[in-house]
Formats: sequence, structure tokens, C-alpha cells
Amino acid sequence: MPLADGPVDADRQLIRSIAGGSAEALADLYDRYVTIVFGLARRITGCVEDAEEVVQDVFSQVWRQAGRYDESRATAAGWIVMLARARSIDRVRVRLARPDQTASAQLEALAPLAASSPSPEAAALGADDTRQIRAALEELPDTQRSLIELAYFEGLTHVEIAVQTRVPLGTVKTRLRSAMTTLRSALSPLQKG
Amino acid sequence: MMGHEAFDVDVAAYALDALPSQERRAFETHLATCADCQRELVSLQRVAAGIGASTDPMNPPAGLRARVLSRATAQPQDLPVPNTAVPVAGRPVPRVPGRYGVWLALAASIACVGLLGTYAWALRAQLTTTRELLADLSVRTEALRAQLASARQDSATLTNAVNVIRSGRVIKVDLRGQGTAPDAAARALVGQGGGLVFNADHLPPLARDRSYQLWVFAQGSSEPIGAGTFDVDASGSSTMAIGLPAGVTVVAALAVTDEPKGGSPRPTTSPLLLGKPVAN
Repeated sequence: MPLADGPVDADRQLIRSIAGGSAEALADLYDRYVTIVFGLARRITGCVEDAEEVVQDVFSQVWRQAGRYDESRATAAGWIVMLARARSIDRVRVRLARPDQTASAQLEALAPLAASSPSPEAAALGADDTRQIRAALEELPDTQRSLIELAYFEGLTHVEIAVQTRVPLGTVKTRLRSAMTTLRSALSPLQKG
Repeated sequence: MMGHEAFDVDVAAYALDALPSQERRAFETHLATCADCQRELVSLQRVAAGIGASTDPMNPPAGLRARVLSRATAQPQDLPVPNTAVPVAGRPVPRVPGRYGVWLALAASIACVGLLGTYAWALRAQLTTTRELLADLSVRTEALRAQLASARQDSATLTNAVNVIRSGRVIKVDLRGQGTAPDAAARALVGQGGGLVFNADHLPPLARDRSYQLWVFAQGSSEPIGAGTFDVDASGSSTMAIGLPAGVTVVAALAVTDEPKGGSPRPTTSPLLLGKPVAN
């Protein structure tokens, strides 16, 4: 996610160009964000084929809805990451409803993936920034971080989290809020606005 | 209408997309008119996006780029302002002779494809919502089922307890903490009809594969007889109402030990609670 003005402005311009029908702009945006989208989708879905479909879904949605993107509500990076997360959760839910995929097919698909190099956009994020985001998560108490992971990466609602962890619902809500507030305070020096 | 305080903790869950459908709709209704929640949400959505962006980036397969871009750009783009001029679907296209007819037919087919696409997306959105509702209902049903089972157990315990107390003469046994559970305490009421109500407090938590087991010493016997196992809640408490083991008519003493899940035929550890009947 771009945290400096330059990438944010460049992203805005790209989104405007995409809204105007520029396939080149979509290609540029793809190159900036695909490793983040693919990495996030791979983590949530646990499946390379699903992660590829998520990449398709995300950039198709960006293409279709670029004209309706409200830059006052979220940065382009924030929008894309949220789309990636939402479409990944959709894929997991569809797969759970139709469990016909074999584990061996997923393992075979993993083989060609070599060690990844960061995209230009990831470079714009800065290795330090990414480390700080990770560090803030790692510094959370286990009781809070596990709830964040269940909500964000597993797509569970707070009711589902309460049932799964046997933690009272009120406690789940409070811990989620505390965790998010802690993360925000840890991240605030990095973010603008 | 509920005030802002009622939604205070929901903002974080909403930013994480962790609100069940019904609560999400209620929160969105509130959000539309609450500037505080809107401000809070914007900052927390950035945090949520940051969580996603902090995952390890991965290179996708090389052929994906061309496929994604060609398929994406082949799709029609949404207009910035919702288009209300929706053509009527399903109406037969009149046949027009000549090349204008071909163009009109082509235009109509494109419109139909567009409408079908829109319809498919609407269906997909409805399907997603329905799935979410079903998932919510399933979770709620499971929670209610668990509550019902717990309530039934409580009810059975209470009924048995009432039967013990109503059975006539009741013998009281106070058990005191021993060994590694000095703060533990328990009380048992033994009814004339052979029922026993047992309540323990401040017992330490056990490993998942262990249970507490209650032992009865019959009058004139030094052999403990297992009377049932139990687990304690977070505060170390447990209540149960059971029948005395077969053959026991007079209780000389009660004890509680830490045993493997399911209980043991004989005690394998030292008593953590021990007590004899209190003389009336």
C-alpha cells in the first residue's frame, strides 16, 4: 500500500485512466499490485488456482468499477487490497460449499512458484514499512492477534469467532476493537490522513 | 433508534468485515448518519488494508498477466453515474431490412449480453447475501443448541437436587481442599432416597484430557467407589446431582481426585477434596 504522496497520486491517475478505458493503465496497476493481491489471495484461499481466479476477479472489478471509485473514501491500494480480501473469502466460501477440489491438484500447482521478488509497488511501500506493519501485528497479545487473523484471513464473523474460540461474544468484540486501535496507533506514524 | 454507544465496538468488526449480515445492515444504517463512526471507520479500514498488505507478496504464474488483462478489458465498464435508462429486456426485435437491420440486431444482442451480465451480477450478489445469511443462521443455531443442552443439564441438576432435598433426612458433607488445591471447597447433600447433590468451588483447571472424579466411601468400607466425573468452569466451580453408587446406603466420606478423562476404577492421585458427614 502506498504510504507516500507520490504513489497515491500515481494510483489515482491510473484509476482515472482506467475509468477512461485505458488498458495500458490497467496493465500498470496490475504490475504494481499483483504480487500483493496474489500473495494475500494465496494466504486466504490456500490454493494457487483460487488465488489466480481472485487476481482475475479483482482486476476485472477494478476495470468495471474504476469510474465509480471514490478516492475520498480509500486509497487505490486500500481499495484493491480490500477487493482482494473480499474475493478471496468469496472463493473459500464457494469451495466450502462445493468441496470437490483435490489436495494433490493444489500441491502440484504450488510447484512452479519460486521465491517471490517484491513488485515495484511493494518496493514503494518500503521494506521498513512492511516490517513495521508485521511487527505491530506480532506485538499484539495472542488473544487479540488470533481474533484478527480469524476475522481477516479466515473470514469469520465475530459470532463465528466466539463459537469457535469459546470466548464470550462481548469479549471478542472488545478484543477486536482493542487490537485494531493498537494497530492504528502503531501504524499512524506511517500513514497520512 | 439505538445511539452511537451501541455501535461503538462494531466499527472495528465492520472494518474487518466481521459483522454478521443483520448487524452489518444495522450498523450501516447508523453509519449513514454518524460522522464519528464514519471518521473512525476510515482510519480502521486503512488498518484493515494494512493487515492485508503486510502478507508476503508472491509472484503469480507468468501467463496470468495476459489472461487477466485481456479478460478484464473485454468487459463493459460501469458508468460513473448509475444508468437508469435500462432497455426493456425480452422484447422481440423487429426485423428491419438492409444493413440497418444487421446493425440493430447487433446492438440488441450487445444490449442483451449487457443485461444478462448485469442480471448475473445481481444474482451473484443475492447468492452471496443468502450464503452469508445461511452461515449466520447456522452459527446461531449451533449456539442456541449448545445453550439448550446446557439449560437442559441445569434443569436436570435442579430437578435432582430438589428431589434429594425433598427425600426426607438430608446428610450434609463439607469437603475441604487438600494438597495442591488448598483453596478448593465443596458441599454435598445426600438424600435418604439415595440421591446426592454436589457443588465444588475454586478447583484448579485441569488439562483437556483430565477430569475430576468424585469418590464415595460407604459406611464400614475403606474401598472408594467412583460416583461420577465432572469438569469445572472458568471459576473452578461445578454442580452435579447424581444417584449414590449401587449398594451404598450410608455415606462415610467423600473425596475428589484428578483422573484421566472418563474416570478411573480406583483413585490414581491423592485427594484434592475430602470430607465426612457433618453431625446434625
